[in-house]
Order: sequence, then C-alpha cells, then structure tokens
Amino acid sequence: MPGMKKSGDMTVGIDIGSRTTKALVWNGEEVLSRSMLSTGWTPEKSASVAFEKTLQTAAISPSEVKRTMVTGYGRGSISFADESVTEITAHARGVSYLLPETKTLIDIGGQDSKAIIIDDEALVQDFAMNDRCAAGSGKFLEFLALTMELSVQDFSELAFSSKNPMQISSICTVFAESEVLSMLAEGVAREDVASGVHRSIALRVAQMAHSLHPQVPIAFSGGVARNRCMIREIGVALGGDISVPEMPEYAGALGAAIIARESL
Amino acid sequence: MPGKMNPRERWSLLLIDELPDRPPVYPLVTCHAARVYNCDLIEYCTDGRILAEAQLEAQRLYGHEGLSVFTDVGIIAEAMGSKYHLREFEVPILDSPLITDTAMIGELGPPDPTTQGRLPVYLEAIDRMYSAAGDVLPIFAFIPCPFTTAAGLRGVDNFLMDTVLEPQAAHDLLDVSLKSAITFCDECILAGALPMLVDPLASGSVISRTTYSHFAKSYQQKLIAHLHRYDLDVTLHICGDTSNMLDLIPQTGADLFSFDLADVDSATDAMGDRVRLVGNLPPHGLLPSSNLSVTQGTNSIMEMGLKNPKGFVLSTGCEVPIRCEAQKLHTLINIGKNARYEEVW
Amino acid sequence: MTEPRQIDFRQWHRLFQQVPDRLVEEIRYYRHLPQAEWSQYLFPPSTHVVYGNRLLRKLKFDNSQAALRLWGFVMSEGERIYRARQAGMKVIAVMGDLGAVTPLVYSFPNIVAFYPDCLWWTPFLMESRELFDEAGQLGLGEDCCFVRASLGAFSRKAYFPKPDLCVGTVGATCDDMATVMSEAEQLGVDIHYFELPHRHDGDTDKTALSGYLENQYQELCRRLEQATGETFSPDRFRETVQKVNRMRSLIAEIKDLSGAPAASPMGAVEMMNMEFAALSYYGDLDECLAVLTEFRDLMKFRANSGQGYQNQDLRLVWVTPPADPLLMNYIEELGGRVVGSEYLIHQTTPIIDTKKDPFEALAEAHLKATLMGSSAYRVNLVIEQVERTHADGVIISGVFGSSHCPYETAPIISALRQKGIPVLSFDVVAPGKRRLQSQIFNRMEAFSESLKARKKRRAG
Repeated sequence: MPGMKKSGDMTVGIDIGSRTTKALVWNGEEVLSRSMLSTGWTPEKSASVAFEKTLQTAAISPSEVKRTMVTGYGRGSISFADESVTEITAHARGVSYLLPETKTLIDIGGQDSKAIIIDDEALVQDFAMNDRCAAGSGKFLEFLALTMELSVQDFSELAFSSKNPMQISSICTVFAESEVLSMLAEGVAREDVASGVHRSIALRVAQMAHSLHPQVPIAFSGGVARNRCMIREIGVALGGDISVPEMPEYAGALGAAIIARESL
Repeated sequence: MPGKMNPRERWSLLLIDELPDRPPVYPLVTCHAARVYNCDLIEYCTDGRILAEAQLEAQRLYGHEGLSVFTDVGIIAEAMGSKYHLREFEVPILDSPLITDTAMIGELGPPDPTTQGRLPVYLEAIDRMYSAAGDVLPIFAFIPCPFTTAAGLRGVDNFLMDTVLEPQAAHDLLDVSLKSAITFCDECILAGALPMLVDPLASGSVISRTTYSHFAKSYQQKLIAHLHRYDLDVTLHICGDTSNMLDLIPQTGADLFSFDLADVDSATDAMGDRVRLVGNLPPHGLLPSSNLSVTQGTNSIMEMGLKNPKGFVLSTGCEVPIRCEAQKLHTLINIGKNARYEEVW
Repeated sequence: MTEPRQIDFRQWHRLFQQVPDRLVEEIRYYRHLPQAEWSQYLFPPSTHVVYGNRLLRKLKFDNSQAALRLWGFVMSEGERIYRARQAGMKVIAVMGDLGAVTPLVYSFPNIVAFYPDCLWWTPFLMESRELFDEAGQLGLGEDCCFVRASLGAFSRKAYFPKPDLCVGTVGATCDDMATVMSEAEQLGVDIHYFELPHRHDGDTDKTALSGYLENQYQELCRRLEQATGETFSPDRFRETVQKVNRMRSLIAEIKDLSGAPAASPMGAVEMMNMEFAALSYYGDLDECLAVLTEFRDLMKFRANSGQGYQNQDLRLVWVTPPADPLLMNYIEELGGRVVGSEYLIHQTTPIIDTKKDPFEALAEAHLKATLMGSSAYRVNLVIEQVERTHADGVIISGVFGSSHCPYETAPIISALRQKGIPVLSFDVVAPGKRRLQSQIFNRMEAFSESLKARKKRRAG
C-alpha cells in the first residue's frame, strides 16, 4: 500500500487485545494502512511496533499523525498515545462506520466476549460482557482446537461441515475438554464435536446478549468473526442474520482512529 | 488453624490495652536478615529491594512478628553529610563526621528523605514490605533519635565534649537532628511503617543520667510528641544499660520501651503501669553457645514479662547478631509462641 | 473554608499539621467518661495506613475537617468498642437487621451496639484475604457474601470484644448473615434470634406483620433486660428515639444536599460512611450526632455556595453498597458523582413515632425494610431516587454469593432498562484478584464513556 493517497488529518487507532495488537492509519475517509501482530507479554512494545509498521506501510512519519488513540485491555500502559478509549466504545464506533445500520454488536475477543446495543447515533446504549471465565471467548475455542490437534482455522472449517452439532454442556474449559475427549473416544464424528464446541460458545454469548433485548441488524466483530461456523451458530442462537464487517478484527482500532479524529 | 491470630492482630490488641492470645514475639532481626538472604551487608544497606526481600525471607524462616527496617544508626547523619564506611560483613561505621566546627551547625537543614543518602533505601524497602505483607505484619522503621544523629554528625567524642563545653551548640545540633528525624519519620509513615525510635548513644552505658536528662530525653520527648499527634504508638529502644534511667523513660511519652541491660521486673516496677515492655534476651546469648542458656534466659524473661500490667513483647535486648545461630533464635521464638495469656473469650 | 478537593493520604498527612492542636484535643468519643488519651479520634488516613489499612494509600478523601472527622470516627470504631468494654459498658452485636433494632438497644443505659457485618469492608481496606480465608476454614467460602469476613473476625477474636449478646436478625434479610450467625454461635457467641416476618408488597395487610414484629421487639427487650440487668424504661426509649430521629433527619438532609446542582459537594465514600452511621451509630450515638451535624453544616455551606469538586458531572445513583470503596473513587475519577443511593437500609429512614407504644413504633418503621418488601418495592425506591435526583445512570454493585443480589438485581436492571435509564451492574471483586478488578474498572470506564456521549448529544 505504499504511495497511497494521504488526504486530510491522519489519526492512528491501536487496539491492544489480549492476543493480538492491531493498528491502522485513518484519514477520515479510508484506512491507509494496517498492521497486526501478537501482543505477547509487553503490550507497550507490541503497540509501538504495530504503530511503526503501519506508519511505514502508509509511508508517513509520526509527525504527520494528528492524534493516536489506543483501546483494548492493554491501553493503560501505552505512554506514546494521546488518549485512550475502552474497546466497547471503540468497537461500537468502528462497526457503526463499517455497517451503519447495526443495532446489536457481538464481539468475541481472545479473553472475553461482549454484546453491545448501539443507538441511532452510533453511541453505546447498553452492553454486557463475559470477562470472568474463558468459556465464551476465543481462548476457549483455541484450547479445544488444540485438544483435537487442529489449528483454529481447520477446527472452524471442520465444524462448519457438521450437520449434527453435539451438545457440550460443560462451561468450564477444563471440564469441556474432558467432555470432548469422551465424545471422541465414544466415536462421535469429529465435525459434530467441533461444531458442538462452537454452539456452546454461541449459546453463552447469546444468553448474555438476550439480557439486553437485542435488535436487528446484528453485527459480529473481533478475530473470531472470521470463523464461518461461529457466524452460523451465533445467528442460530440469536435468531437472526449476522453481518460481518470487512476486516472484523480491526473494528476496535478503526473505532479508536475515528474517535481520535472526531476529537481533533 | 482457625482462630489463630496473626501478628498484626496480636499487636493491635496489645496497643489498645487488650490481651492478645499471647505476647507478640519480635526479636530485633535487622542485619542478620542479610545472612539469611545470603547477601553481603553493602548490598543490604544500599538496595531497598534486597533489604525488603531479606527481611521477608528471614521472617518466613523464623516466623517472628514484625519486619524491621534498619541498617545502622548513622542513616540520618549520613544523609545530612557525614561519611560512613560501608563494609561487606559488618554494619556501616562513621568515617568522618560532617561537623568539624560548631560554627557549621547553623548551615544544616533536614535532608530530603526521597533523594539523600541511603534514606530512599529505607523508603523503598518499607514500600515493598508493606505491599508484600503489610496486612499481616507490622513494619517498624528504626529511626535514630536526635542525640544519636547529633553524635553521628559531630563525632561521638566531640559531641559529648560539646554537651559540656558548648551546650548551646549541642542543643542547636540536636534541634536540627530533631527536624531531620521528624521529616524522615513522616516519609516512613507514608511508606507504611511505624517509626521505632532508637537511641543507642543515649544509653546509660555511654552517658550519665544527667546528660540523658538534659540532652537526650527532651528530644526523644519532642519526637514522640510529633508521632503522638498522629496517634501512633511509639517504641523507644535504648541499648546497653538503662537501669539508672528507667524511672525517666515514661517522661518521654514512649508507649513501648525496648531495652537491653536492665531487668524486666525493675522495668515493670518503674513503668509497667504506663509503658509496654519489649525485651530483652541478651543478643550475645544467640551467638554459638549452649542452647540451654537461651531456653533458661527466655523462660525467665517471659515469666516476668507476662506480669507487666501494660503488656509485653518478647524480644532481644538489642539487634540479633549478624552471626546468630538460627537454632538459638528458633528456640527463643518457640518459647514465645508457646506462651499464653488467659483466654478472654 | 478551603476549596473542596479530593486529596490523597500523603496530602492529608501534611495538611493535618495545620489542624489546630486544640481541635485534636477536643474531638473525642465517649464524652461521658473521664477524658482518656484514647478517646481522641481526629487523625489523618496515614495513621490508619500504618496499622495495615493498605487501601487508604489508593483512596481519595475530601479535604475538609468535617470529612476527616467522619473518617476518624469510622476508623476508630473497632478500638472504641473495646474501650467501651474496658469502661464497663455492655457490648451488643446487632447483625442482619441493617439498623432497625439499634434504637431499642441504645435505650438501655451504659450500652453500645456494633455491627459485625460491617467488617465486610475490612478485607478491602486492608487489601487482605485473611478474614476470608479464616471464614473459608470454617466452611464459608467464596459462594457466600463478603459478610463472611465477620465470621473470620469472630473466630480471630481480635476485631471486637466478645459481645454480651448478639442480636441476630433472620428471616426476610440476607441469608448469608444468618449463616454467619449460626457459625458464630458454634464459636460460643450468645445469640438472640430476631425473626422477621415474610416479605410483603403494597397490598399485604400490614396489621398482622406489625403485630408479629412487635412481639419480636418485646422478646428482644426482655433479653436485653437480662443481658444488662436493667429494666426497660419508656422514657429513656423516647429520649433515645428522639436522638435517633435527629440522626435520621440529618442523614436525609445530607443525602439531599449531595445532589446539589452546581457541583458535587462531597465524595461518594464519605457519603456512604455517613449513611452507614444509621446502622449502629459507630458505637457512640451522641458523638455520631456531633459528627454528622458538622458534616451537614459543611455540606449545606458548600451546596448553598455552589462549591464542590470540579469535573464530576455524571449524576449517578448507586444501588447496593460496594464493599470496595475504591470503586466509588474510580467512578469519580471518570467524571461521575453519586447523587443518590439505595443501600438496603431503607428501614433506617423513617422517623419513629415517639407518641406510639415503643414496640409498635419500632415495628412500623421496620416494615419499611428494603429486604422485607417485594422486589417491586425496591425497584420503585431506586426509580424514585433516579427521578428525584435527575440521575444520568445507575450503578449496581452486587456481591457474588450474596443471597439478596440475585433476587433484586435482575428486576431492577430490567425495570431501569424499560424506562430507558442506563444501568451498569457488576459483582464486586474480592481483594487480590487484580485482573478481575481491572475488568470492572473497564466496564465502569465504558459506562462513563457512553453516559458522557449521551450528555454531549443532549447538550447539542
């Protein structure tokens, strides 16, 4: 993307999630560049690297950036940013830009999941979060994919092919693993077990969202929104079509960049 | 085991005139902690993290009931400008005092505890200990009293001469030493420690009762009054022989008196209705010798201490020697932990 | 008077040097006893930091003398109860009633009441799991409310003297408190069970309930006579109730003043401490009145002159008291101010009728109890607060394992959502669980962001 046009004031949004850090440059009309890397143990360092990489890709210097806004769980430790905003506000803002009709947003991240109700002016009206245990998060999916010796992507594709998802009743990750292993030992089809895992997460997320009386259209963001089986299961659990924005994992970073620009 | 008080609980009861299950056991484990932690004394005296970790490790080993922040009595004098010699295996000693002429006293002011000398080492150590265990263990910051600091600023001999030849200069030096002690006490409090005042030079082994009355006591009194204004319970520790000044101690306002060479019964007679006693197994007993003497000595002290009306803390008469035998200290502590006050509930 | 500000314990330590010696000398509890040094209590938070209250290093405090006095009074309660016993007073623990039976207890001479359940904030103040772990060893684990800390305190015997009697209110109140009581009984505490009648709603015939409660009060009265060796005196009861009524009026007045339109005149934690005075008067009814009077005067002055904290514009009603006061400080840091509260102690708000039969009057007031009413009753109390204080939103801080939270929180949230009132609900996290606490902070931050955005939009 080097050499892309640079119009208007540019802002940078950085989303430091528990698993990955995303950064992008926004000029008020389009995303000029973006970068994503693993957060690791040092959020400040990964944010700094993501920031530099995305600026490099857009071929701009730090002095050309009018404001940098951070979001995500690691936002508190970033000294070079101008401001911070919670990922709840940032995701809502990002998704509202990408899918302006959205009324309900589901976001499944590495260590939590959230349901956000968005009002007509793209503001957060209400939200609920599951951040107390791994069940209902990307981590749960990752852990059980590992149990079945699959990558998350293969796990998702395998699950998508299932017509008969099994019921995984354990909500504790450790017990869910034993349940999965028992099913496999009993000879249950692998795809049915995999889709059962997806369904279990979707049901938990939907339960949380129902407490907010969700309205359609429903959007789904975060890294897990690239998972076809999860999109299907969330749709079934919430009883509606699910829209996924372009680059769903960048919704938070985009929202942060937009908010940064609005505050100029 | 349910129902077992922790050290913080035991001390809090003692300080409000209630009987805990038993007296707190608080031998003065100071630089001996460096030996437990296996570091040298230069590291211990100059690095707050090491001091804190060493204290915590020693506490885990022995299970005594308080953490002690203390390296040497020159800590304030050094921060004000006197030179101390740090040694690998012994505590720091005075190298060259700052005040070579009493005319210099007027230029002195209290040090900034956050930047000067090794005072920041104390503050870091307190902060770390408080964060690690401040809910269950009291932290005592040993603060040299003005008399001892003045001696560190002027040199012991010169200062004692001043008290005779230039008493006003001695008082001037004591005044600035008092201000310095107050400033340092405040920072220690804010870091989470309870100041414990130490005045080894004001000992009956060093000065007369008259010198104590004229030059040491009133400054102890003022420092204690400052701490009392904050409702803090103050321990005054004087090393050596204090038997000739026991009756003067309550006049300082000290809430607890930690003493060395005086007998517990005499201390009880002199102040037991007003002051809690902290003492007083002779530290040399903890050096290689027979364990029996520690047992007998501790039992006898405990027996007398339990009768002190205002309360008692089983301790050593002075700092536990650096080369103390661990087994001896365990013996002392175990005797303390097996003592019992009559159950109140 | 100094400009209202929230300052930390370091700043208070230095500011305290400017407090005149005369005041430190004068402000004392148990003024009816010969003045002892221990009865002074006007000291700064740093004093309590030294004795292990580690959270005070993180909290912000109002910079007024009146607030300092309130803090000093609250923080000295533990010692005060011991001093009462040392002075020969009878010590009565009142548990589970949430402030309803204390007027009767204080009607007896030479007596103090204290509220062991309030030790639930000790683990938070000390940032310590000691009391929770102690309770855990006795069988009350994390599935019980934070009031289990009081069981730890009963077991350790180092937080209050052995009560001469413990009045244990059970029935339509938190089951967790009843659990603590039954465990405490095993530890040798003498408990008089005070049974509340069933929960009721607006249509219930109150006569039978009132009659039942009157009987309970009469029984308690007899038990207190036994414990104190004194005969109940209706005159002394009236005299006590007059003081209690004065306190209740003061609390109501102060609560109203906290909603002052110009700026927040007082910190949320101080306000919660003030309101909790209604439970057992922090062990000294007369001094408590003096503390609250000075506090009210300050609030009045600030409210009337438009003085208060800067940059706290989000008006919030707080529902269910948080055991962790840091949460309240945090919402203030985010620009919030607490203008109303529903701390489950509605029974301490009615003025007790001194003309009626004492037991009838007490029963009548007791029937206002939040926990004895239906869920709808509490929902209405919350909504009434929101409307009266023109709140922008509501925060509900629940306690995992607390019996009333699941009964009440869901209907309150649902009713507020139906009315379009923004609400944030979470369970307070026990000390030592840093990750979970940061998640609560995250939610609070998101909530404040959304409220600010709405406010901005409303302002055009």
